[in-house]
Amino acid sequence: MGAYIIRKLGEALAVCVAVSVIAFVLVQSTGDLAVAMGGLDASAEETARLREVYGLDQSLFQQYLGWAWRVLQGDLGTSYFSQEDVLTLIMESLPVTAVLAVSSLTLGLLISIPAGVLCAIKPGSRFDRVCLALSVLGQAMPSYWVGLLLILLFGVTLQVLPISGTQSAASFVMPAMTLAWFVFPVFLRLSRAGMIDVLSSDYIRTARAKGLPRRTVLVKHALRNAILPVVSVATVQFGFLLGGSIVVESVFSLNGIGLLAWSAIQRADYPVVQAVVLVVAIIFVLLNVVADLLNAALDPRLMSEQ
Amino acid sequence: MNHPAPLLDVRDLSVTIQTPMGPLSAVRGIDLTLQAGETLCIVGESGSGKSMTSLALMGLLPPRARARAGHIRFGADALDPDAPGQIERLRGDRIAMIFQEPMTALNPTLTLGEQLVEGLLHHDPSRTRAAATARAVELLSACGVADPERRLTQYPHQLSGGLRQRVMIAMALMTKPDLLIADEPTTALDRTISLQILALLKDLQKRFDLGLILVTHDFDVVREVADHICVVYAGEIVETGTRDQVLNNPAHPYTRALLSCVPTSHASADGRLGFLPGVVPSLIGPDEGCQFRDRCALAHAGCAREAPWQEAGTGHRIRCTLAVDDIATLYRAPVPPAAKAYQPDQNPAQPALEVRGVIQRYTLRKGLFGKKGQLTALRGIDLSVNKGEVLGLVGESGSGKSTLARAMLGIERPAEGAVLINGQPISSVQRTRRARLVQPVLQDPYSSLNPRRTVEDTIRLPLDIHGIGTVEERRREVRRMMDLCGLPTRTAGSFPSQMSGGQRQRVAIASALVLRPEILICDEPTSALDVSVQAQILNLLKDLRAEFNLTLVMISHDLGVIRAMSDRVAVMYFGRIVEVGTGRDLFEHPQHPYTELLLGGVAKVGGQGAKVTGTSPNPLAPPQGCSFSGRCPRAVDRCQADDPLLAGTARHAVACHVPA
Amino acid sequence: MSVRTTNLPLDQRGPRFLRLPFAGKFGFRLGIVMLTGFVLVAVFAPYIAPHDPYSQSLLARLKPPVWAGGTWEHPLGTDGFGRDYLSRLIYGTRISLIVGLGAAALAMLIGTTLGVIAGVFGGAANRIVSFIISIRLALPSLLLALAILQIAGSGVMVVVVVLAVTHWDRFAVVLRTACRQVAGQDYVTRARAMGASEARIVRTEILPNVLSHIVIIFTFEMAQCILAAAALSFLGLGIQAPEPSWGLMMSEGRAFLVINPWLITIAGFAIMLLVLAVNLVGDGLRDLVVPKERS
Repeated sequence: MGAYIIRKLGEALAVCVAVSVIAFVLVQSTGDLAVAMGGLDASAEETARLREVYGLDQSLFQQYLGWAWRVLQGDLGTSYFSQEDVLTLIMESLPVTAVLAVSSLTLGLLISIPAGVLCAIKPGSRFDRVCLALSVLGQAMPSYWVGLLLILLFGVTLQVLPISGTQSAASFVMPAMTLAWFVFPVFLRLSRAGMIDVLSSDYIRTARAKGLPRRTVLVKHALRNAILPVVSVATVQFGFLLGGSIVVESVFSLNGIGLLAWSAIQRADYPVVQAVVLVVAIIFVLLNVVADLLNAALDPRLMSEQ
Repeated sequence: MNHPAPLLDVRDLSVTIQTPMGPLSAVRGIDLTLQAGETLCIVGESGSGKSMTSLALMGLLPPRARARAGHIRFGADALDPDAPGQIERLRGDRIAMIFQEPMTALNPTLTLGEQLVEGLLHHDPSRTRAAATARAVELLSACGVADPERRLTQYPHQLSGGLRQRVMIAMALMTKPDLLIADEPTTALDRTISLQILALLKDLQKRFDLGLILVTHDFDVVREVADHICVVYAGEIVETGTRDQVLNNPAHPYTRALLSCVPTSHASADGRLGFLPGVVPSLIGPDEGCQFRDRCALAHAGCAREAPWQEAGTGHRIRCTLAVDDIATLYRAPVPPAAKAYQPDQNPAQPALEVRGVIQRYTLRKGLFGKKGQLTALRGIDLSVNKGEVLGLVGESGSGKSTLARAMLGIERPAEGAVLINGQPISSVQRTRRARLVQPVLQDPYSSLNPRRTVEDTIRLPLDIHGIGTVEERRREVRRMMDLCGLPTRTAGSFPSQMSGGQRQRVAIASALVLRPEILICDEPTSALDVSVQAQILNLLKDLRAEFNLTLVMISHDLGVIRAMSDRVAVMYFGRIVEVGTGRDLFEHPQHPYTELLLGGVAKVGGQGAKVTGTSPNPLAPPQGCSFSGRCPRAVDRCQADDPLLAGTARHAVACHVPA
Repeated sequence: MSVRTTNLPLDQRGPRFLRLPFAGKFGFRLGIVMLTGFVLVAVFAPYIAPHDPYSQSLLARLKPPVWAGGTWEHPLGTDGFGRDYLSRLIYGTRISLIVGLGAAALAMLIGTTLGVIAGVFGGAANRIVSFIISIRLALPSLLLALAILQIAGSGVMVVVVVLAVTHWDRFAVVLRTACRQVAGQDYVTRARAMGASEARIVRTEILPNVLSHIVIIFTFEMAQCILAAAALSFLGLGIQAPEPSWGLMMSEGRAFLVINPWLITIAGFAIMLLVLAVNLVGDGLRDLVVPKERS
């Protein structure tokens, strides 16, 4: 088990390093950074001084090392636009996105897992067909469109929910519904397929041969094995939601990390973009490690892996 | 014979499965009677409906299958197979079942202890968990599981296949059932392990006065354990009687033909196996006639009507339109004339195939930063095969026989040592030249053929790769090979998914021989096939051997197949050859204790106690001394420290410090 | 005696791929009909569209669709610049299909190559490819696509490349597994023993047997790319005004959300229908190739 964790962490570290190189190159490719930092009206001396201060006259490799060292100390740079510390900006907006991701994921799982299990018990039934049709529909609807339709319905027509901002918990209802609708097809199909697979397995037949009641067979023997893949995908999906909530945050004007990144991109504020890419990627990698560990904890076959 | 009321009495049991092509009658009116403490073997080939019968008795049929029966009486209870509550009440309590695949039949995420006690706690809620656990421990030790308390906290993946099957048996016996149904309980296991499990079942049956229904395709198993036998074909019982009656005096033409196909201890490389042409008929749609009539040598117009039961002796009955005496006079064992005798060169200047000190290692590694592990699959193999000879290579799973096959084919280079063909190292032979020296026939006829190629394209492929002949010549050659391998011309355009397992294996053989190789390496060529089809393929190989002057290496876990094919036999264990000799010497006077174990029956294994319950050593950390010493009944101190080498004459050599 | 069929597998009607267009469930047939419709609309856009999709008319701004009080002159009304909405919708089909097909095709090229290399050769190749896939999955794709578009500029080709670079992973993951499985089949061993070269084995033994996987993933990724392209347009990057891209039309319609909600509803509906069609075809193909899920 210890070796397993170390191995997974080692792999995660390697991916983080690679991601940081990409984030670094991303900003390097935008042109002369000294000009970008100083602004177009900066004098030649000012630009030269910036170049020296930030080590922009060094080789790329040295620049990367210097940048990486600063990142490790928590210095993600300064916004071109507002001159604020990028880390502070991220820390302000990350909780909003995290709340959104957690609530939508919870909502999505609470609906899709029971639905998927019910579908799997009677594949081909009316309930199964309706759920599958909904999941096909869910996959086809752009999430921002769903968000706009919700705004039209609840915000404009019925006027029961606020259409933007983060003032109250009610502000999160529509964004969370939008993203829950987005993750519903994934988990429905996963839990349905997992359950169908498990229900046809030999050990379920063994459990039935013992004369156990149907409910015991389903809950004790089937559900746990069927849910295993859902756990790891849900963890990973959480990471996707962190980086992929841009459109929903922009539709509902939620001051999350997605909106921060989007406005930074529009203003060519690359230190912020770079930092968001890096932070989201590292969170994603860490979540992957968590998913692996969760899987190992739930599946004794992985636990005792040599 | 005056029996008390039978434990189980089944009349006219039928199972119908709804398919897109119409209702499929998997079981057609089967009658079964079983006394307490008796073993009934239901034996048949695939598609005979034997498994459906056992599942119907347990009420575990798949969703689209429906069972009907005249009556099912279990002790004093009368059961209706279509009324679900009744069978379910007895299931797992009075009637228990064990299945074929021990590797997948246990829930991977629950401890063995929990899986053992849950059934008992459900059927007998008054019992405490502690009492149930105590019974589990008691039964595990009765089933030969060492250290039972520790096993309770373990998970299935931590146990070997044989051990899991023991746990399955213990689990089935938790509620003291009267009837145990075992569906192919040893098919997935190695022979030595399988013998142990059968011995255990016999022992437990005596101890607990169990009725046992054992479903199998394997006549070795039947011979070991049966009291009564039902031979099933296409969903019907065609013959039933005691073991001696059915096995020694089979009356029905099907049983006679089938038994002639089974390689027995009388089989030898010079003779041929029996012959049962054709395949099982489609079971879709109604058909009241004898299902065997398409393949029966004695079939006549009357066979399309329902066949009546005939008495062949006390309790020995067959279902046939002909009278028992008529069958006896008319029936000719359908053994085709013996293959032309082929004498291999006994003292050649140079062996056709020689394996010299071959060692093969694999590096195991997980992920980007995974630890490396080294697995030694072959630990020094020396072997030679003379031109025209058939060398049988027998071994259980993990013995390295398939690794050796790949090395002999030259498609995998050994870590040390060399494989020589006609004295030349195979690694120095050019790829295309090598292909014309040695070709394989592999185990699984379903994965042997590219599903996107027709039969004709598959057989022609080697000619295409080597650019041999014109289009017309290739076409003629393919037709000739199809002819020789018994493939009808009309199948030329068929895809593998449209062919039976036996036909696919014929295609694989034809395409292996189209290059006219000198050596054919057959790796378990018939282990996925039914007995009657196996006989067809083995006979075909014998014919082709004579036709093409082939040198053959026959790899199998099945001693019967090895015996029926081989001039000389090598026994493999844990990456080594432990004994090698001419077929007769080795089978009649085995010297290595492992060979003895393989050849011995249940009685022999049962008598040897706990010693034989050991399994193969860990290939990642091979032991210092003899690798068999952990399981060996004759092991002495020296065996622990000193690894024996192969020693003896060219006729018979053995790697053992204490040979018989 | 009557001729009785033997106990052969049920699949006796020849290789599966030949039957594809004629088999399958209702959803599959519906998907094919819808997709054909979209392709026809895209190809014959100039003949179907009632107006020039670019021509503005300040006099005819924000006309509602016919069912909401509009006229047949502009059946689906007009947008904020007075451009005919139906014509823009029809020309928008072209953009969605081109971007979807192009991006999925390029992603297929990248992902399949990596997946086949990893699956066939295993070992170090597999570890390297796994590492590349991990990096690709760790990077937030929409964010990265937006950043690249901002840096590299916009245009259909840039969008196609950006989407391909962020959507190849599924090809690689699935094909790695599929190729490893096929490479372990006995017919590959037999081809090797016949003296076939590794290149020949990949070409004639492995690729034909993983083709169905490629086709299925292609449809799913095409749907994903259409959605992602629309999202990029919606956020104002990628395909630029005045092109009639559906995402852009929705983005422009946001300003009139309260005045004329149809501007958003209809374009979103069009995206949904197209993605639905592609997904239905993909699902149908998968059911044909892997029929085990249906019991």
